[in-house]
Amino acid sequence: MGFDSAVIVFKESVIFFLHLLPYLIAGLFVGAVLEVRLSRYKEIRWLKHPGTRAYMMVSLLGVGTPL
Amino acid sequence: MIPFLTAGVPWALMMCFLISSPLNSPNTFFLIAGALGYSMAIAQIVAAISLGVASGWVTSLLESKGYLQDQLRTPLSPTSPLPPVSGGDSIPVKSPSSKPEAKTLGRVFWHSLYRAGTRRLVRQLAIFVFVASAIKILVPTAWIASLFGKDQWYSIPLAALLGIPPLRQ
Repeated sequence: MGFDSAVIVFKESVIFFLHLLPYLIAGLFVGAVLEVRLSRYKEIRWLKHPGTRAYMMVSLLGVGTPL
Repeated sequence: MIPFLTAGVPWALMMCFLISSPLNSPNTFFLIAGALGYSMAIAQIVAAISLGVASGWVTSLLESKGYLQDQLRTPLSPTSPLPPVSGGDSIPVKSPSSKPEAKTLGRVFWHSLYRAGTRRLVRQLAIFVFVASAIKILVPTAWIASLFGKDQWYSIPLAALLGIPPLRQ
């Protein structure tokens, strides 16, 4: 029973991992490209003017950058 | 966040970044899309941005009331350049209008993709997948349904508690 369960868990893990792997690779590429693109900005003037638009932009940058 | 602190970025904007950034990332978006579907991944992005904006409003209100005074901050001068917004490596740029060298872009891209991404995330994904499969097969479905079913008033707070970032690491 224990060994059988371990084999089933292992098989299920491999199938799920292979299913998610393309998504992970896509996420890594998009994350890397976003990080490179966002790193170009040395000076961001809108950060000096807080407001709903600035909050939204910073939040968008927060979810767009891989941390 | 340390460059943000030293540059004197307002607290409200810092809180926006602090709240929204750990909640989602490009990797998370695609993994959620793969596991739960794109609608759920988009909903999570919208929720993260909404929470970030709400935290900005609340922090701005607290700041206007004077609750965040006398903090260890360097004042923001009108001409001081702000740091790059990326969470990872920063790229030295000669002037705001100049583009970073291709070599530097390649270095950041490689670091993000290989060191921070592939090395760490593939290992974490393997562990996550194994634990998820073990729970799916070994834990009775009825037990999970009794804890997280629609009829339980505590199902949402319990799920939120389990989702606290330190517990997920």
